[in-house]
Amino acid sequence: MKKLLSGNEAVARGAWEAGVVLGTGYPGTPSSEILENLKEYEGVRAQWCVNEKVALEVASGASWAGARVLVTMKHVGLNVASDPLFTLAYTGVKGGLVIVVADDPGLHSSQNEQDSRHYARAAKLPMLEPSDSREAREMAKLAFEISEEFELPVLLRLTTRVSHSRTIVAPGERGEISTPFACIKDPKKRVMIPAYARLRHRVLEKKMERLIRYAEDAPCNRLEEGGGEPGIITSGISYQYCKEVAPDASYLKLGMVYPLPIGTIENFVRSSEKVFIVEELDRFLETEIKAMGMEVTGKRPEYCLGELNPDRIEALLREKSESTSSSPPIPVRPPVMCAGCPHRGVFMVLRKLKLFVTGDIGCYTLGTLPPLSALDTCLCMGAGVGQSEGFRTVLPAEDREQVVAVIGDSTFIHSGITGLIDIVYNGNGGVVIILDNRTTAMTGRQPHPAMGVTLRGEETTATNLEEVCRAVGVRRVRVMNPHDLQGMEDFLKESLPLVEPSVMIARAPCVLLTRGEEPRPYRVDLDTCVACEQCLQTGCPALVKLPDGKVRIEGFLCTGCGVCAQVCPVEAIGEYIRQDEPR
Amino acid sequence: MPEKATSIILTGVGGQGVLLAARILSEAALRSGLDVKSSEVHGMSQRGGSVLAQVRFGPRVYSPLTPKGTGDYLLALEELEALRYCALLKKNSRIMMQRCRILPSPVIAGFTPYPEDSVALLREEGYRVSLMNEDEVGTSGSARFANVFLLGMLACHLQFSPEVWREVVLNAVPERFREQNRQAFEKGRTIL
Ligand SMILES: Cc1ncc(C[n+]2csc(CCOP(=O)(O)OP(=O)(O)O)c2C)c(N)n1
Repeated sequence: MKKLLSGNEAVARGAWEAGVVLGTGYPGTPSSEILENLKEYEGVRAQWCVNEKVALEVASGASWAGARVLVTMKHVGLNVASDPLFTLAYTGVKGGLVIVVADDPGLHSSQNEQDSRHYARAAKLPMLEPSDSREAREMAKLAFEISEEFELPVLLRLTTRVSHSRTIVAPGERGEISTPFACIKDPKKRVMIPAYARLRHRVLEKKMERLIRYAEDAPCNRLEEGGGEPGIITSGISYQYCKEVAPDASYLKLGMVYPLPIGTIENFVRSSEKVFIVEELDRFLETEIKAMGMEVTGKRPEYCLGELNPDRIEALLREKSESTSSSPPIPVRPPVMCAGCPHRGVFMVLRKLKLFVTGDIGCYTLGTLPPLSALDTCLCMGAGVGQSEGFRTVLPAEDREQVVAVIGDSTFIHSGITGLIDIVYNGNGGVVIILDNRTTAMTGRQPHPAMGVTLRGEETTATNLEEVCRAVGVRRVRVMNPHDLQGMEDFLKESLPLVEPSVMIARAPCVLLTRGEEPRPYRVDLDTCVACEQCLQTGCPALVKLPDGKVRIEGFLCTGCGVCAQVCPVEAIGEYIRQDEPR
Repeated sequence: MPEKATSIILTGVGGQGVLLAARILSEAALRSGLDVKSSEVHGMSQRGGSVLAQVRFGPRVYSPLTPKGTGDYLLALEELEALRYCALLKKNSRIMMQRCRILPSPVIAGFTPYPEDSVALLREEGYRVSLMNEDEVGTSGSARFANVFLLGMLACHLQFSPEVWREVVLNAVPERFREQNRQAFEKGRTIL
């Protein structure tokens, strides 16, 4: 029966039909739902790993044992996994290994909009790119076939619009799985010492030549001769937008974006008067095709920025620059930390102490926005810890004390631990604050190793964060309640001047985890309130400013965290006691 | 050239049920034998951000995104969000909107005002606005079922059969809220 599936659901379905037995990855928008869906299928183990690099390493082991494996990540995750990726191209794989990489043009939820197609060229790997869910399922299956035929990992590139759009899919059945899996020694293929790696590099180049020939007849590359002009070479979601605005054009729709079918492209270019290359983000296809010596029309620089859409493509095809709309400004609605978010209290203290905060990625990155305005850097996952060390290393002694690092619990495990070891090893002091909200909140509350549960909900040994910190050599490790502002302030003041490093673990569960538990909302006594607006500096969405400047608390939003009450100078805010409740 | 797709824009604030409404609508189109594509932006929606979903259906749909100025209907669970996305609509098209203002943080902080009369602004732009007033759902906790109420309002303008609607609405909501959702949908249908 036909179903409406998101691109992510369709990839999970296709992989399952292809006989995948293991799915690994690390959460990241827009890729997270792939494994969350895969875990629902029989006969597959889907698991979150510590980070993307580990996910790919686990997958390579399973593949060498002969199993089909799916690995999922967002675009920046592939940066983390790139070390095993490049050499895995040399060694090759045995069981099909498909790496899904989900790009985020337009930065709906990311720190950059890098174009991961460059990885296919750089690592010399085939890459497929679907344009809707139907193709996502088909290409997931095809990717496993290519992977086994060429003994190479295959990249399957999605973008936010493909991952998060629903289109019609006709699901199929699961194919045969050829077991048993086994350890077979083959060091010349799998131990990349220089002598063997030189040979494998040669093998890889040969595979690439074969792949270019394969691309000429690849079932995912499609010629649609509308008979009309112009000719358009495109791929992915851009194809769908083009069809919307230029239904009568002739198309060369590339499902395989690397390597490219030179002969097919040559014929197509020759048969059209004018050929446009339409692609989101970088001029990847354009560069490749122009390097083949063909005359095609690319895009103006502004179309390399952000997401495309039918309107932009219409302008692009007319070779016009974009019209800037003159509609009246509508107030923006930025995301905010939830009412009761345990991160808020920490940022209130950091703000009060006027510290320089090297930050990281997660919900807590919102701490940079006003009114909190208390997070000063965000580069990539794990970076804030090392950055604090860098600042402290070069700053004059009297300025060192103002630097503190914050990092989420999931991010700490992903790539913060190494930075902490570096601080200890290089004799740097300072404070690292682990914002331990007991989940990976930002990407949809996935479990992680310190929680003691897996993706499938099984209980497992929990990594103990305080023991990890002590084991790497930090002696001052303190677990604190992030709703206790004074306590945190005292600990920071005491720790920042020390020559030895300290870790403060601010531990309270994400409010999205405890939603549904009976909240104890607070209330403002309007007779006591002096309209000083101190509480509004918390940026809590449960606080509403009244026309006279005083503040009311939205009872259904308030979780009773008490942070606003602690900053109120006149004690106007307190716990609301219900009439019918004896206390 | 094949018949054009119908495009429906759904918007609101994180937590109001925009995505659920979009899924119900897409399912109704699928079961009515049409091609369907829908697009949603998850991102930070749970943190009180603006949420936009689009559902397009017809004999053949290519883009999941609606070209500007071609949308047919807008369902809005919040007034500011209706203003934000109305430009996706054709002039004269209909907006079904819940009377509801959720102040975004720049308004709360006093950086910028919330538009005074959003309905008048939308009408000035040439849209036809049908309103769902807060007490209109008639069941307790009306705001919770406003998404399904708006779908009821939309249903009057679409060709999907009542059986299809009933099935997709009831399938999409939790068992214990079925009755309230059914009522909200039926009530919505009575508003033209
Ligand atoms: C390399 C990489 N992988 C994944 C992501 C997506 N991502 C952003 S933040 C984050 C983790 C957030 O969890 P945590 O550190 O616990 O902070 P919280 O959101 O819970 O506050 C993830 C997975 C990313 N930005 N970079």
